[in-house]
Amino acid sequence: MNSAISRPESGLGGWGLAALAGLALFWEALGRLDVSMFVPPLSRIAVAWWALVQDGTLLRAATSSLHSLIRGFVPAAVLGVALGLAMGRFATVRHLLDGWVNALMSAPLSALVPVLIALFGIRDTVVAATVFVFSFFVIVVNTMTGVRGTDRSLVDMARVFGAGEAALFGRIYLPSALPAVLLGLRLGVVQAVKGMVVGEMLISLVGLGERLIYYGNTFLINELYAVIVSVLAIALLVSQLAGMLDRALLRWR
Amino acid sequence: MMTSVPIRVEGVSKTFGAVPALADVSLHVGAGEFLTLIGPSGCGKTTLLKTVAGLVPVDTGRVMVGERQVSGPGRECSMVFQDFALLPWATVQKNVEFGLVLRGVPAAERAATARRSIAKVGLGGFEEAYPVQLSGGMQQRVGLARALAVNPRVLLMDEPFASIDEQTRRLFQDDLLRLWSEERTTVVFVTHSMEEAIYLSDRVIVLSPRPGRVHQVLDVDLARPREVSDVRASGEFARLVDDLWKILRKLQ
Repeated sequence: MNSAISRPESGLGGWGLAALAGLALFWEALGRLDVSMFVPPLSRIAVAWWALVQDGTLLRAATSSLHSLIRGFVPAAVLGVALGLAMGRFATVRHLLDGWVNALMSAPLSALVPVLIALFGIRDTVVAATVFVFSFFVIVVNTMTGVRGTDRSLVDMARVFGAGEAALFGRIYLPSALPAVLLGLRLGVVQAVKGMVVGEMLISLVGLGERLIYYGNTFLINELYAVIVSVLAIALLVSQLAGMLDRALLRWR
Repeated sequence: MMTSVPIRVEGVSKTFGAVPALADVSLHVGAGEFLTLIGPSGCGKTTLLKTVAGLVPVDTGRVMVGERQVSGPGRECSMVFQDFALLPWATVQKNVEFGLVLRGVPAAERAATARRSIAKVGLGGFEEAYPVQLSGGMQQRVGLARALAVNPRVLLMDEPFASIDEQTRRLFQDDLLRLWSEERTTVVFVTHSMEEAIYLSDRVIVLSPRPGRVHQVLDVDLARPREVSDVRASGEFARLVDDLWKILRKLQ
C-alpha cells in the first residue's frame, strides 16, 4: 500500500541549500572586491547580525514584528476562510462581493496604509491591520475557488445517501476545499510578512521594518543587511510551517 | 436477503432551461428486476436515473419507488456513479461507511457492516487504502460496496463500468450478477454497451434522444445464472445483441 505518490516540494531540498551556499560564496567574493559600499562582504553582515542579536535589538524588533504578524494574520485566516466558504457556497454572497474581493486582491494595498494610519493612529495596530489587508483577500479567493471546484458527483453522491445542507458542507465542500484553503493560507502568510514589513516601514515606529528604515537612513549597511536577512529568514520559516501543516493535513494525496 | 421494491415512472417530463431532456416517459421496473436503460447520447438516460434517485425533480408526472412518491433522495435507493464519486481524502473503509454515517448508524455497527460489504465485493484487506492507490476497477468496487452497505431496495447504476478496461469489466459484471442474485435488489442500470445491456438485464429499455422517450422495450430471456455458463458464446446472446443494434442504429 506504500505506493509512492509524488507531491510538489514546498521546502528547501538539497539543491536549494546548495544554491544558497553558492550565492553566499559569490556574495562574499563580491564584497571583498569592494565594488560598492552597498555590497559588503557576507562575513561582515554576519558580524553585524550577531552584534544585533547580542544587544537585544533584533530580538526586540522581531518580537514586535511577530506579534503584529499574529495579530493581523490570525483574524485574516479565520475571517478569510469563513467568507471564502460563504462566497463559494452561496451565489448571492458571491455576486455581491466578488468584484470587491478581486479588485482588492490585485490592488496595490500599500496605498491603503495611510488610510489605516488615519483610522488607528500611528500605533502598532496599523501594522496588524496592514498584515490583515495584505493576507485576507488571497485567502478568501483561494477558499472560494476550492469550494466551487467541488466535484459535482460527490455532491450528488452525498445527497443520494441523505446528506442535508450541513452534512454537505462539513463532509463534502469543506474537505474538498481543504487543499485550496491551505494553499490560500500559505500564500496568505507570505503576503502577511510583506504586509508586516510594509506597515512597519510606513509608520516607522516599531519592529523590523522600523529598523530597516533606520539603518537605511543612517547608512549602516551591514546592519541593514542583517535585518533584511532576518526578515527573509522569518518569511522562509512561516512558509515552511505552512508547508508542514499542508503535508500533515493532506496525507491522502 | 433484502426486500426489493418496484419502481413506477408515470408520464415524466423534464426540461433543463430550453432543452427538453425527457418527454412523457412511463415505465415500470418490477421488484427485484434488473433493468437497463440504453440509448444514444442525449436520450436522457442519466437524467431519468437521477429522477428516480430524487436528485432531479420532475416537471410533470411522478416517480414512485415502492409506495413512496419521489420528491427527493430516499432511504430505499443507493447509487453507483460513472466516475466512482469516492471521497479522495478517506480510506476505503471510511468511504464505504459514508452512507451509513449519513443515516446515523452507530460507529461499531457501521464499521462491521462496511467490512462485510468490502469483503463482498472482493476488496478484503484494502480497508485502509486510499482511492488514489487503487485501480479504476477496484475504485468502482468501493463504490459498489458503499452502495450495498446501506442495504438498498433499489440500486441505481450510472454507467458504472464505462471507464474500466474490458477484462476487468467482464469480471466485475459477473461479480455484480452474483451479488444481485444473492441480494435480489431492484437494479436500474445505465450503459452505452449493447453486450453489457444484454448480458446483465432482464429487460432493456431503448430511449430515443432529444427529448428522451421510451422507444422500445427488449426482453432478455437468457437463462440465469449467466455468470457460470458461457452465455456470451451462445447464438441466442448474439441474436439479442444484434436485435438491440438494429434498434439503436435507426436512432442514430
